[in-house]
Amino acid sequence: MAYGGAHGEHGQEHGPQSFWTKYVWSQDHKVIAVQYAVTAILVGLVALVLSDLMRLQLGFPGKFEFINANRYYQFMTMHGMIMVIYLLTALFLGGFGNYLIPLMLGARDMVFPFLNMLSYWVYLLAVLILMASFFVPGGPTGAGWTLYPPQAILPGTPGVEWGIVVMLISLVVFIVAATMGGLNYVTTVLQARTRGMTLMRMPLTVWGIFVATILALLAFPALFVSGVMMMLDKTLGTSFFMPAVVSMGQHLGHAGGSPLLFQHLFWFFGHPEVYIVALPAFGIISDLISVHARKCIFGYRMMVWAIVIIGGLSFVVWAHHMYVSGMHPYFGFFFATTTLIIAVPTALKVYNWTLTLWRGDIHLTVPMLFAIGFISTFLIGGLTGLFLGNVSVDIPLSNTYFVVAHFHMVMGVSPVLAVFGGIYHWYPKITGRMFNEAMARFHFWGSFIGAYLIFFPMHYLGVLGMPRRYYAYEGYSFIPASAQALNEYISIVAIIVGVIQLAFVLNMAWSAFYGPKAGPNPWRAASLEWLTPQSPPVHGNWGAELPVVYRGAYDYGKQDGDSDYVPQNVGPEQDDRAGAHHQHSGAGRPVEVPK
Amino acid sequence: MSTMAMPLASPALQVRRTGLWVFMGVVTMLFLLFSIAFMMRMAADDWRVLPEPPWQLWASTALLCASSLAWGAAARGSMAAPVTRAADHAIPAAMSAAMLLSLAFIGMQLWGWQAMAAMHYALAANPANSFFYMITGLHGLHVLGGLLVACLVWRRRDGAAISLCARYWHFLLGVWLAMYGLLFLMTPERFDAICSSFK
Repeated sequence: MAYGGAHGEHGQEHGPQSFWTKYVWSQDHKVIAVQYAVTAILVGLVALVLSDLMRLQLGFPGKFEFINANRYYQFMTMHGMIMVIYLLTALFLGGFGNYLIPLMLGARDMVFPFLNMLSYWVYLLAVLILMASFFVPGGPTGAGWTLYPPQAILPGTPGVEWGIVVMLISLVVFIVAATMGGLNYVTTVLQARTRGMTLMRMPLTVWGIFVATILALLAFPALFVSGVMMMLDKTLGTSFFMPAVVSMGQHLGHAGGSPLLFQHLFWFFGHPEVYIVALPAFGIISDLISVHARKCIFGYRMMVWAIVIIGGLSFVVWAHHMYVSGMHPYFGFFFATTTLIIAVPTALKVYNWTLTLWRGDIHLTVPMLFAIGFISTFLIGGLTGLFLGNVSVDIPLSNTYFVVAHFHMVMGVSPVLAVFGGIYHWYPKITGRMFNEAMARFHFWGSFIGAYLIFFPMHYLGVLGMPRRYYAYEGYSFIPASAQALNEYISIVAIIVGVIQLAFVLNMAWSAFYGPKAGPNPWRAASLEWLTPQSPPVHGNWGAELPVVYRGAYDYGKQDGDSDYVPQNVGPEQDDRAGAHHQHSGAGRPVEVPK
Repeated sequence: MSTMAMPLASPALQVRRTGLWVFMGVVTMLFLLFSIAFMMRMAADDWRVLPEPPWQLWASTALLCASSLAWGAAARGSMAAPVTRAADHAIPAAMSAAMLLSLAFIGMQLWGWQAMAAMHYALAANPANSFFYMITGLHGLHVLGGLLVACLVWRRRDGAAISLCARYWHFLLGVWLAMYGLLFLMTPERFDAICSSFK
């Protein structure tokens, strides 16, 4: 908190001048956030194309000759890795975290701006290294996004020449970037909150990102450790994970290593990763629902504790990804129990969102549509999680499309809907302009209905016993011909939904320059980021004086004249809410409450 | 808050201290996970316990202890109020001593690697060896990273930053002692004994 004062004397005059310092080598958290978001979305589009290429093979096997089995596995691996790590993790923490934490807490910037800039450039380096793997001899790795040894580094797996090495290097570089960013986010939340912004007044978005960042800081080292050990196995012939293997008629030099050890390390990262993506989404959805239903979030304290408890529990459930690897029945019992316990705080959040909507003044704006869509898809994905959390149900379903359907609903579609909702919600603040409403609605309905059309039938395919990870499904007597018809239909929908995403990209790009001016607070939201003196906020965010916070971020629904909300920086003496309704903004000059 | 009374405490000290604590938490997690992997891998039959450590490793331990002490002296000097003329000379001396001792530590670790290799404990020959080279190597990288930051601190002569350097070096020493003990003292038998004591 001392930080804000020290920085305050600079005011805004130290804002950078030239194009290069303003937009490229910027230390402004808002510019870095946009850099992070644009990079993540671009690389996400690559992953989207890869998924459609996979669908082409699955829907029309053999019709597209360039998609051979090796390419298929390479597309699958890169799709998974990019979506989980380089898109979602980077976008939620680097994009939303960077933009919203300082603004929502009333800080001028992140506490370590230089480190913040470095974080983005190292992230970009990780992305470039990853993309380079498309061009190395042998192409990218096709080991699946979990990179399980021994197959990941044995001949026969595509990309074993260079792809796997490039992937591991890229992951290590990404972890360095995420750590630099994470140090900033955690320290900023702990130290740079403005006066009156207690932890229990922070918007839930910040809570979600804060706890997710702590998870990232504690979980990514596990990926780092497993990555470094696998790299040594691959390049220097050690045997951390590699058992004695006869490959192509030859004894390899490895002996005694434990592939299970890798799985433990990987999932000790991999499971918290699910919540690194989910918790910021929870936070964003909470804020969106409260603002657009004009109602205080139901059970704020419960929501905070649910986030914290989910974060804690996420570290003791990792082996539920390994039921099929075999384990002592007591361990299976332990991990099934902890997994099902997570359903309690998670269900609590869903109830609280629903209860916030209950008798709220619901405005079906675009962000609200995405928020309600999120509740729906997350509920479906969460419920199938209850199936898979039980050992005895998981084992027959584990290698089928049921799992593909489950994790795409809960960890693919849901966070992406939260990302879209969040971007549409904060777009007017970021650019100062409003997006095109019709195009955004088209984008929502296309994506939302499309997601159901794609992934819902996959549950059925899974129960039917259709195995996942297969390149082609011809000639298996247990798969009926009708499954192929369903696959064909899923592929067609997937391609259409993929194309619909262009509506989002075009809308964002066009509206940033030609959209109508949005004004400082088009959603009439109460949290601090909407109360900046300029919109979009300038470097330093708050002008001469930092805002002072008197209340939580959810004071909605008390009608008084034209206004039905009280911004966070309105003090008790200003809250007589009679007459002209003036209040002090961060700039220290009276500002009309936006209508 | 004792820090506020310190003469050289800039307003951002609290922030930087928090940042360092978070970072040390991440590094602790990293080495903790290496330790867990070490103990899990130990269960396999092919595990061969490392030999008595070569003298170079004892020497490097002493060097890192000395470096940590030197950082402590620099920090105490820079935090004393008012900074005397004598202290003004003593602080850079202590800092350069600390940094040279750290470089010597790195050199000695490399010499230790060579000694281990000369005793036929090659990197890929046994998983215990692999862990030895990997963990010492990554610890060394953390020392080098610290030295890089220390060079920046050297130019600014910021008392708060010096005290944070000292804290980081104490931490590096702690990590090294824990890893040194783990690598050379933790045998499968001891591991079993510890586990069965919980029954």
